Amino acid sequence: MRLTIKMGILSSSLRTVAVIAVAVLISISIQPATATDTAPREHVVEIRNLEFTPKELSVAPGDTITWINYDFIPHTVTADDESWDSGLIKTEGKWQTVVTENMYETYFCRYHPNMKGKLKITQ
Amino acid sequence: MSKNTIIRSVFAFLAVAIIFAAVSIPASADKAPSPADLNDLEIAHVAYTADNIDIRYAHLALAKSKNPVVIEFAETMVRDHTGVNEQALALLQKLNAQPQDNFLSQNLNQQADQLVEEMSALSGDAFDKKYAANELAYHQAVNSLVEGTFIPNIQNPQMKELFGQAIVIFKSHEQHAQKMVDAVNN
Repeated sequence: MRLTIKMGILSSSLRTVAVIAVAVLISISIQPATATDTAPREHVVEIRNLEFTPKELSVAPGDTITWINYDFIPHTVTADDESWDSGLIKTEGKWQTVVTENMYETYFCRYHPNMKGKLKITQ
Repeated sequence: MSKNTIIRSVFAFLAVAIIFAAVSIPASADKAPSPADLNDLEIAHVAYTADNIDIRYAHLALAKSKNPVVIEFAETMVRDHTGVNEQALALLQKLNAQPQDNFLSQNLNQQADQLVEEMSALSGDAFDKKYAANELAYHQAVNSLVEGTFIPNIQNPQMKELFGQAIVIFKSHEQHAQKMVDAVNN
């Protein structure tokens, strides 16, 4: 009888522990995902054979974009409205910028006006 | 048949043979040289020469023009053709090879000398229009030669790859030159 009561108390305690454990696990599994989704991301755009790759890039404010020039001639990364500009990026050189909410989205190479790229800024 | 007759016949035959040779050999030697006959090192020399010629035109434009479109194009020509030449020289050094002078490089230099003289006498819009038109025509001609003759004929794989990358740059120059022509004529 006493043993049965003790077993019942133990069983009830185990259930409580199990419920708490599941709740903790759920909260752990949710929280990091939320943190990852909102964390700034790093993006790379390669310049090869007078093309930006990817030509179009989805980014969010706070993200960092790095352009790397793999051509053996210099290039620039310049907003179409010239509100932002890398200046000359030499061979094997790179240029980095942090995305802002109102950043102009389309850009080109000042030296080779046919080279065009686009940022798609999601809020 | 007398001995003299035989000797006369032999001389006659030799005379005909010599005349035939005299006519046929120069005909073969006079055959116009073709860009398709150039070897890799001669092609490298032509490309290096063509790059330097365009740099020369660009320096002339930078000295004479006040048009921002022309100046920007000329600056790009200096930057890009210098870059291509540096790459070509680095490859030749790696291959331990020297570019070989040839008829086409010489022809290009002669034409360039005449054109530089002609353009030097111009100023203002007349210079800008001449420079722009020449850049378009020059890139069209060189691109056609590089793409249609040089790249298919180059034997060395690294050199073929380099020319493959260079033609992308030169075609971009051709498009850029077309925009410059449109700008200076409007």
